[in-house]
Amino acid sequence: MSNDPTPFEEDTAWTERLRPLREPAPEPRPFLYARLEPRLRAESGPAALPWWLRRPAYAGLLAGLVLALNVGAAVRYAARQLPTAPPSARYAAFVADYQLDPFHLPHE
Amino acid sequence: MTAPLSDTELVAQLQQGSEAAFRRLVAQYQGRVYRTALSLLRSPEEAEDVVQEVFLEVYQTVGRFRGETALRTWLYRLATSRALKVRQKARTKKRFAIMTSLFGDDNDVLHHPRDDRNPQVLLEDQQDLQQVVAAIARLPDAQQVAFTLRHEQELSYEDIAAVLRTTVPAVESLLYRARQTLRKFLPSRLT
Repeated sequence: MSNDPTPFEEDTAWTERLRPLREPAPEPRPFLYARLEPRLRAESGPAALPWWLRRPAYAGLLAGLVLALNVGAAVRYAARQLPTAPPSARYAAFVADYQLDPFHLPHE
Repeated sequence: MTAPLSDTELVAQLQQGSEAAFRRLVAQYQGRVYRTALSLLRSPEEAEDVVQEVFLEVYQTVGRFRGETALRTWLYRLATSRALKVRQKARTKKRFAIMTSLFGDDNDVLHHPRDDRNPQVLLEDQQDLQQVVAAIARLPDAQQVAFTLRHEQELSYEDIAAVLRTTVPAVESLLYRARQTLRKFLPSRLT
């Protein structure tokens, strides 16, 4: 017949063996709530800001990105809008410069 | 003296934002949460950090608590998962420290011979207990949680199953495997 302990005996034996770990029952240091309270206040305070705004590096990165996009868009827009004289104005200037008689261009 | 509140009443008051109820919750459960974290971390400082994190999480999320599990099961669950996360972080840090300590400034491999000598003369019982605690710490996470909840916190199999979101036979299996593993780690007189 086997002398191995039954699962129940083993269960009880382990609980008994670990008794010194729970007697006396370990307790947190006194005034735990007093230490917890500031963290609660911080969490429930003006926490309406999203998490990425509470981290300056992310906020800075975001601001830089927005700025770069705006500058890029402005430069692009300005390049497209360079003032150019209309064709008829160019011909009029040419006629005036060379004191030519007025004439009509075939396509006008 | 204030009359004891049932968990259901306590949760209802917490959900209404009662600070008194929150104080009561902390007073009522801080010991259990602390001991659960301590049994997995073996560091009073880290265990207290976990306690604070757990109650902070309760404070923030109690509005979403629907009572599918008992309040204490929820707290045990939060405590074990937080403690395991802390331990995981510590292990990663330790691994990194070992990696970096293998190389000196000039990238020479430094050899640190293992020192198995006990620096203090301890009583035999304490040494045995230390050995057992060290062996428990080497168990895989799920086995360790089940083992410490059973033999240190003295939870029932049903409660452990609820904490681990599993079944009672699965808990029995975890505990069986944990004991088998401890037999391998420890001399026979300690198992």
